[in-house]
Amino acid sequence: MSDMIMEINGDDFKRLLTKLVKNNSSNFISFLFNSSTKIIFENDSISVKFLMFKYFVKLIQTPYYISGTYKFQHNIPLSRFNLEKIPENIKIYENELYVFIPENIITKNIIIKNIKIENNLIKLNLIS
Amino acid sequence: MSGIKISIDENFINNFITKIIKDSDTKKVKDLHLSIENDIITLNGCFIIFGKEKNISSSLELVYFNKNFYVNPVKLKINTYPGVSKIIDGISDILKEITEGISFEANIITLEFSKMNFDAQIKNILNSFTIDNLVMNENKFFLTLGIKSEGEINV
Repeated sequence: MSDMIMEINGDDFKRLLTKLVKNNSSNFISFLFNSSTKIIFENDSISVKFLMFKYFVKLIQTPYYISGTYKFQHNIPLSRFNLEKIPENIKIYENELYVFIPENIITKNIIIKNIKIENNLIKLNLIS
Repeated sequence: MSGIKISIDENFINNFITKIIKDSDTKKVKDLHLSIENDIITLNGCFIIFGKEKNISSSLELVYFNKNFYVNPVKLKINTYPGVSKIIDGISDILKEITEGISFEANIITLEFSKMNFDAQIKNILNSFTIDNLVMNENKFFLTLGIKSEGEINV
């Protein structure tokens, strides 16, 4: 075995992301991390519940190393949001969302073996 | 479950170190491996000392860490025989390729995460965590990170 395993529950993951994006003024980011938005991690998807609406963001492609581009599918209605102020490493299009993690000497030497999202738990299995 | 639970196998670290040595082009370290048992890290390495390869064994012990590890130093004691400075020089050579904030004095290695030259996003992430539990045993690190509440950041 030469693994590194990380587990984080959905609530803590949301708290962490909320801290990371707190200075971002995009209303898209505000929507995702608003206290009235409920985020549920299940079936390898992230469900976003807001009032009577339910959206999903599903991870469909990961890079080989932890740096690189993560591709997601989503059904969030983008016309409601100003997308100009989202972070530079996030690109969002109709039905698709891309998150880019920059390369450094650490990230380029760690390989993603598996990412599992289920029962409000995110489990990341890495190898070197 | 609360916080982030991380387990790292020593083989993961050893493979990682081997890759970093290769990428860093250091001339002082040929090989470095560690093993983890009973809260002690044993290091075995092949170092280039005065142009000759020398196998050196040593051990590392965590002597101080504060839960709020980002703003407080983490201290490790290295136990070995004279000549240890060559080991530290070699390891420092590798680590300097990654970051500042690592110093060595009187057999104590001090890690200061707030001084490490990671980008702002990584610093922000590190400063969001606390170390709630750390166990080194059975060839693994077991680490539980907590997430700071808003008032704890930058304290």
